[in-house]
Amino acid sequence: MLASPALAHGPTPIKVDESIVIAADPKAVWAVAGKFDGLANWHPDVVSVKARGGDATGAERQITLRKGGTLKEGLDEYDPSSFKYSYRMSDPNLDALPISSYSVTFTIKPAAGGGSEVQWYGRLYRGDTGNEPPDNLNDDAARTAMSEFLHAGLLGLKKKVEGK
Amino acid sequence: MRVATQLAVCLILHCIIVPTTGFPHELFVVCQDDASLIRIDTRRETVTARVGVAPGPAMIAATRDGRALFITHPESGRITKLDTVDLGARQIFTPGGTPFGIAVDPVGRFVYVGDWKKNVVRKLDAGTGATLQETPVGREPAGLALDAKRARLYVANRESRSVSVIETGSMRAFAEIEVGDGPFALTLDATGERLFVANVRSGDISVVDTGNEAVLTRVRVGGSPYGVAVDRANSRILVTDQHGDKVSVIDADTLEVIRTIEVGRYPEAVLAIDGKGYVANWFSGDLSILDLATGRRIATLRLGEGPRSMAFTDATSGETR
Repeated sequence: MLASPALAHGPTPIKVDESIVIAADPKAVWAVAGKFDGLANWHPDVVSVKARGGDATGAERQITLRKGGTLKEGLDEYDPSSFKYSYRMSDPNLDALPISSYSVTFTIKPAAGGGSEVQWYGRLYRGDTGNEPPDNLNDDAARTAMSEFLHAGLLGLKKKVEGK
Repeated sequence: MRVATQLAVCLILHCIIVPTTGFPHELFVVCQDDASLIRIDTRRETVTARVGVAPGPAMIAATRDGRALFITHPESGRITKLDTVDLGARQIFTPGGTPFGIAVDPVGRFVYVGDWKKNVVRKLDAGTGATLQETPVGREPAGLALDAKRARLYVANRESRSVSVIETGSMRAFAEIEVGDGPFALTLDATGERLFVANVRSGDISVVDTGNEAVLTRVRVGGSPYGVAVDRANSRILVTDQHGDKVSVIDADTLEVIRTIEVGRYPEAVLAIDGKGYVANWFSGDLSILDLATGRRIATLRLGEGPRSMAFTDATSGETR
């Protein structure tokens, strides 16, 4: 019997790690990006977000992507004092993202030369967790899709905050 | 002679090995992404060896005398058996499938390994690697905990919200205990009377009375608890919260969270040894060492990429279950 997609997982996690420096202090960046339901305000690949639960642990959001498709995510940790929150995928949608399971952290630190360093990183499992996945559902496909999504978001955030 | 052998291995593996005086207090950490095994002297808090292993190592188990280690490679269906005196001496077992969680009995006669995809636990001859028996369990068996004295094996079924209990002589699964959502890691207390199960998705710990396989309570810790350990010295339970980058400390008597300790990024495996906590941080690739009496982080050691699991060998204690 096959595991249903909603429950599929895997034995080997993949790391993604993106960051960007923004010319504004962490508080100003957090004011733009710190709301769990506010992703559509700054991520260029996100059209809209439907959410409930605000910024409390257990809150949920459904993201509609510009290219089509939706992602459902749940908030695990929210710590405004350290400009940090973590969330995870609720249900996989392999058409929207070739990933069977992910958890991701967003955080803002003061940058070494002034301004902010925004870090967006996480742990995920490829779309097909079997030992012989097809190319479109393998480790590279999963890593690339999530890295590109995070990277595009960080560029969008920088643009929004710096007003350029 | 031993040193010479190790040096020869180092030349082949590009590793470091510092000869030690026996192997009484050693911690072994498996790093999945760079396929490395790291040995730490827990008395001196130093890394004494780094060696390469076959690709994609995940979980590790050690015999009580600390002589043999067993490491699963889920993506290639293999298990590596290593000799801790000569880390270059290895056997490769090929049970096939997706071997993940692993346990070995104290004297190193049998190895028990879960198959993540086939939903079975196999009993292997630890000398030859031959599969002796196969027992169906729940879906995606993750962590295993062995109580050798009572001949019981506990299996966390990640996608069945349950723990299977197997009698290891007959390999009959005689009970299935309902726990929280996403059970991954589990561990027994010193007596074997209580089992602690970390539920990744429901963010809590199921506390099981192993006398009657009943769940006593569930302790809320939040986040994604990926590892659990018993601190016998202080009567505490340690739980890693992968999303919170912290360890929750639970009083083993009152079963309440009494403290949280900040560690590295995405902590996963945890062990408590002689009043100290060892936390392998999957994302930051380092080991946080905690003083469990004070709750302070006393050292951080660099590991490799993607540390997943740890085993402790202590030939002098004889306590390994």
